[in-house]
Amino acid sequence: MMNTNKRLSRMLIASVLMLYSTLAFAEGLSSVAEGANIYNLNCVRCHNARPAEDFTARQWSVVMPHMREKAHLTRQETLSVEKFLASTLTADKLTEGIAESGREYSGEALVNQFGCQGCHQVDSIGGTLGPSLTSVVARKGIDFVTRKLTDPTFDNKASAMPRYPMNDGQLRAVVSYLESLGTGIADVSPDGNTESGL
Amino acid sequence: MWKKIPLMIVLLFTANALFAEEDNLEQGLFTFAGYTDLTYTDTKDGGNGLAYKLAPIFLIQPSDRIHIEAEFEFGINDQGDVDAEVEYLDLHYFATDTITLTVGKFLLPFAYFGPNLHPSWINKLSTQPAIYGGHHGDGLIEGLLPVMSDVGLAYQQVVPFSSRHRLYIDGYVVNGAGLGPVTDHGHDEAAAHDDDTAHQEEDADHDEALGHEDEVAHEEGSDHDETDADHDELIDQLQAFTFALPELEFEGKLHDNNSDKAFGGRIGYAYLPGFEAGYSYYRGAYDDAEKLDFRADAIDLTYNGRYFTLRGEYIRTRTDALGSPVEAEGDHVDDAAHDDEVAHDEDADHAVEAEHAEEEADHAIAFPTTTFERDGWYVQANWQLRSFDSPLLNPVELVVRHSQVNQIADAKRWTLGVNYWWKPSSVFKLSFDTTELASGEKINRVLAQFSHGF
Repeated sequence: MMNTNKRLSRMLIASVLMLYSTLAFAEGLSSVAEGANIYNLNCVRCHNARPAEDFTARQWSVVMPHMREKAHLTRQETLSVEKFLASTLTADKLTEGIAESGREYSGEALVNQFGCQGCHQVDSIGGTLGPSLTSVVARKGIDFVTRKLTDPTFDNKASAMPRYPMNDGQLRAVVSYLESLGTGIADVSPDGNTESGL
Repeated sequence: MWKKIPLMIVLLFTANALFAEEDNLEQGLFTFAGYTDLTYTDTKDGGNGLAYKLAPIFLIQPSDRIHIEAEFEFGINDQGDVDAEVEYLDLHYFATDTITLTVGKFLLPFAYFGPNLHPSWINKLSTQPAIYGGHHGDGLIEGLLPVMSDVGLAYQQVVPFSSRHRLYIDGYVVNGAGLGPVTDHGHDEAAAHDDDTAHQEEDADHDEALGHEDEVAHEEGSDHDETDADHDELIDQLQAFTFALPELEFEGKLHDNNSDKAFGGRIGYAYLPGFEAGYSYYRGAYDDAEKLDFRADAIDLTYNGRYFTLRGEYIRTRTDALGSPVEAEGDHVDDAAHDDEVAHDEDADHAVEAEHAEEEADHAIAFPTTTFERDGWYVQANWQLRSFDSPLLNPVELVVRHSQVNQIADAKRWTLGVNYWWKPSSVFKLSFDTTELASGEKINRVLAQFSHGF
């Protein structure tokens, strides 16, 4: 009886351990920002983070399992990174959808949509691959930030920052939102409306 | 307990299937990646050379759970011929969310540089840390081991306590190392060091001894008494044994020279992206008779700051070696020039008197064995000048590395480098290194390399 109990206990422990390893960190990994965060945390262990444009979304889907093994990523983490990369590469389609809906652009929503906090901090929350976005406009100026968003490598050829295709309205919304971060003013849409929403 | 294993496996896969996330991502079947580099080396008073390497990587994904990868390396050797090599060719089976099984020829998860940092667009300098000598090394320093890849099975698991706080577990069973190639003349062609003639001769002696070992083993099978008598008689005739560090070959082959599989692994802990530490182990018999082991262990540490990275690795190897007999009035003793050339024996003082050797002798082997222990380490720091936030300096990176190997063929090397990044995966590297060998000789070099990861 004692032996049976011991065996059952061992089996239970082994099963729990295996289930734990499967379940651990599975929750909440579906957002683009979390994919960006995983990208930010893991790529730099060995090499410069590579920009999404280096491969197509279809190619990334084959490259990422290779990196999953190299970087010891879980399946969920690998999928999150793929989603982040795919969202970067299809940003024009995302923003087209926003434009077609006739809704106003929200800088905050666009920043969240693009997963900027995966690599940049906002109010001390987010990744550290790139500089903090809090007060970035105050530090670098509107012209610099606008140009960085449209041509991420203009000041650093090695920058891994993706280029998000945005129309002028979207660009202004993002810059306005970033400007507001340093001043404590809430999200500002291009027309001065402070309401959020896509 | 063992009867329950199938049930546990079913549980494992069921759990994985239950929590698998549906997604709408595009799925590809095949893609092509890799890297290429062009390296110019100028050695003070030693000429210069240009080397080119192409390392294409083929990636195939037949299903969600299966992934196949192959990296080939093409280069031009000193004779102008093309050298082609399979760096790895393996299949991953993603058994669960966190467990990956690998079969084929793969990079061994031993220490950090080999499995992760050796591609030239990732390596911050044009050269490898000196402890890795050999494999595509520069030949100036006799490394402790090469970047190892071998044929076998591997198990990998990650335990993600959180996205930052993780435990990495790797284990493998592979064919293992063997003795280096021996020509008809009994010399190891792989040991092409200028100062290594004596070493090669000793390897030949070693190989002769191994052959004798097989002979003795055969005799033991037929007539123990006669063999013991022969052995005693032989020992009486010997005054001393000499030991030479054997030249081992680590390149993975389908054929294993013995039935003893090498095994090892790495356990690592990381708090991403800043800190990672790991301990690695490797052990395997390398001789046909499975009596002589090669063992290695390593500690690796990494600290990643926002603008700088500090890395270090310490590796210790222990290599069993079979004694070569030196007769009292035999050829070896008469050959004074040979004794003078035995650099390794002089360095390590591994000549062992006959009485002492007899005490250590394993009676299953005709000759006594000893163990050569070597160790070495490197520390490397790189600093990205984008910390100055200047468009001129943003793509520039400074690198400094110190490497050294100790106990037999001691050597030290300082390397200073400056890198200019054209893209996140394209870099021009310029470096200067100075190497101090055990003989006191100093060798200075300038290296320039362009590397591109694609």
